Amino acid sequence: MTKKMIKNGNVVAHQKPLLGALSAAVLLVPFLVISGCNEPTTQASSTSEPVDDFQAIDTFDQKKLKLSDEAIQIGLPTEIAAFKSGTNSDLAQTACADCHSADYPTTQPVMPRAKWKATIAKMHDKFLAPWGEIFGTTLPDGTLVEADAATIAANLQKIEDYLVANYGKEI
Amino acid sequence: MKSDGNDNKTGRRNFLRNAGLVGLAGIAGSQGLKAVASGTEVRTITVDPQTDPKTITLPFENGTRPMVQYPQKRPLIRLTTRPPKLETPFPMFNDGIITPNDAFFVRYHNMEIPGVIDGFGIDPSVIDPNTFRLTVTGPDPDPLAVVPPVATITTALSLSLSDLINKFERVTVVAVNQCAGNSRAFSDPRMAGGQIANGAMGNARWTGVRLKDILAQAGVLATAKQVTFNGLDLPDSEPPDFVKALDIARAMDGEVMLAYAMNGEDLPVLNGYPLRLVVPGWYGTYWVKHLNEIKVIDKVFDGYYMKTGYRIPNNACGCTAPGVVSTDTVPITKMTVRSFITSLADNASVHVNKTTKVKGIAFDGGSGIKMVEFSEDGGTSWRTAELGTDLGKYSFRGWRIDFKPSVAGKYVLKVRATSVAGETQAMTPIWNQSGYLRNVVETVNVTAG
Repeated sequence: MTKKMIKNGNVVAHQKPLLGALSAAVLLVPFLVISGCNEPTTQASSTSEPVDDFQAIDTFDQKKLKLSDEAIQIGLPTEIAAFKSGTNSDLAQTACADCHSADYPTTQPVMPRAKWKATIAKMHDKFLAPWGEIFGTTLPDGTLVEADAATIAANLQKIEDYLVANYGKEI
Repeated sequence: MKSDGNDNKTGRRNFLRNAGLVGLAGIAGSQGLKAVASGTEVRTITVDPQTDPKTITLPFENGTRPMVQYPQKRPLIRLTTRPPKLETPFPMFNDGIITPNDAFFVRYHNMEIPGVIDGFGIDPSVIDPNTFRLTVTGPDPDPLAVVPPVATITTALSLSLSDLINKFERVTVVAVNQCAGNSRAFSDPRMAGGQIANGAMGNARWTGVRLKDILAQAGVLATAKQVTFNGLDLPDSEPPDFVKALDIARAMDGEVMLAYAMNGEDLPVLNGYPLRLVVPGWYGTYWVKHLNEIKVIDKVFDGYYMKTGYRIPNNACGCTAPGVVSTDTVPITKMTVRSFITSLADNASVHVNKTTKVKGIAFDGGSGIKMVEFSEDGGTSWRTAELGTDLGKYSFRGWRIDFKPSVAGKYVLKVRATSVAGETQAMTPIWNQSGYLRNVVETVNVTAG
């Protein structure tokens, strides 16, 4: 397979020239008329007053689509979300961010302890968080020994305390 | 766990990578793979890591968010990174009633997104439109059952994208896709969940095929009760896969469609490339992305995202008294009627004794917008606004009205839409435990001077 790397989301640079030019011309018309597209690169908007598109006629033509036949891959920005540092923040990072980024809990409203407790419970009861594995220990030969119930409960209590202290309130 | 070899996951992932060969294995498998390998170019789109992004602060507690650019997207408000939830900055809705693809919101449940190179440490994968297949089958066989599952269709299908584009009637609908949780962060009292402002919605032209036409080719039998929809994306490990279901009547109504184009071109990867379900008038939770698996089943689907998630109180308003949790719930479906002022932000300034053209958008769950009213005195008196181009009953409808304050001072602007079906917006918000269905009359405070 031929790979072509295009940086910064520039998705038009790799179109087949003929198809790209044709479909771009077709596409610009409805967007100018209907959407009030004011891209400075388009001729219509650079040479005339802004069009009053409020009650414009829809000129979209579904026979003329710009569809690619290429396979596609995307690369996402770096995950930077992290918990505030504090007692047991590492444990929260390990347990929570194993499944989802830290911005899930950190963007919540300031919740009382009962809500944080319920939220932690939901991660296992509804989303099947594998606490036994997450809090387990790995033996020198690579075998994972799952944590027992008491260890899991103790760790979850620490995480709850951390979340209440840093992102919540007692009541 | 990400690092574990989960057989089911690996199987699905292979299906993604060799999509189209499954079901044809032993007939043309290697030949197809060869053709793919030699004939398909892979386009790779990356963005800067953006480890120190600008931020925006939304008007509620803990509302500061980074503005981050994703592939095929302009910078959007990032709520969460893994899985990605990106919200459209609200001023964008003033640019036009069609939401550009690069501004359209993003929301995933599943962690593993097809086509993502290494975002979450998963295997590299590509989405290849040449080998992609959509399958339509009956119920899964129960491995413990002696008898085979009930037949719900006459013919199982495996359709290529080319089949969908060329062998079925092409249809286009302009329709609003609004996340069920849109505006959740304005709920009072607030609740846990994605803390979204008003930007998890968008209005696009969806072009594709009618679901009804696909199901007709599969030959739906009278035993069919529901249809389930699954995409190429996968949960991290144990959590339930994101699968949604429609009753057979909704699936066959001729309005539900499978879209392979969004605003005239490929869907962005993060909006479901190469194919997504479009359920006009209903919340985005049904609009399954990367749709590759349709099953016609003979019972009510009991997957997590139907049976447990995305439910509202089982009453006319889908609501309870604030803070009261309902246990009698039904799946959320149709969107409530809403309207917004888009041309003026809260606390904007306008000129006294000069005309300000106020404009905005309105939409509902599929009857269309009959009327939009505007108030400049906090809802005491109302004037009817002018409506813009009608792109169909599922679309945003633009509205505008002249506002000429004659006295300097503060004005409380409000907007209220009424649907063709006669539904309108209330002055006080409804509440339910998930923060769904919000459609209170919106307010923008301005100062004339």
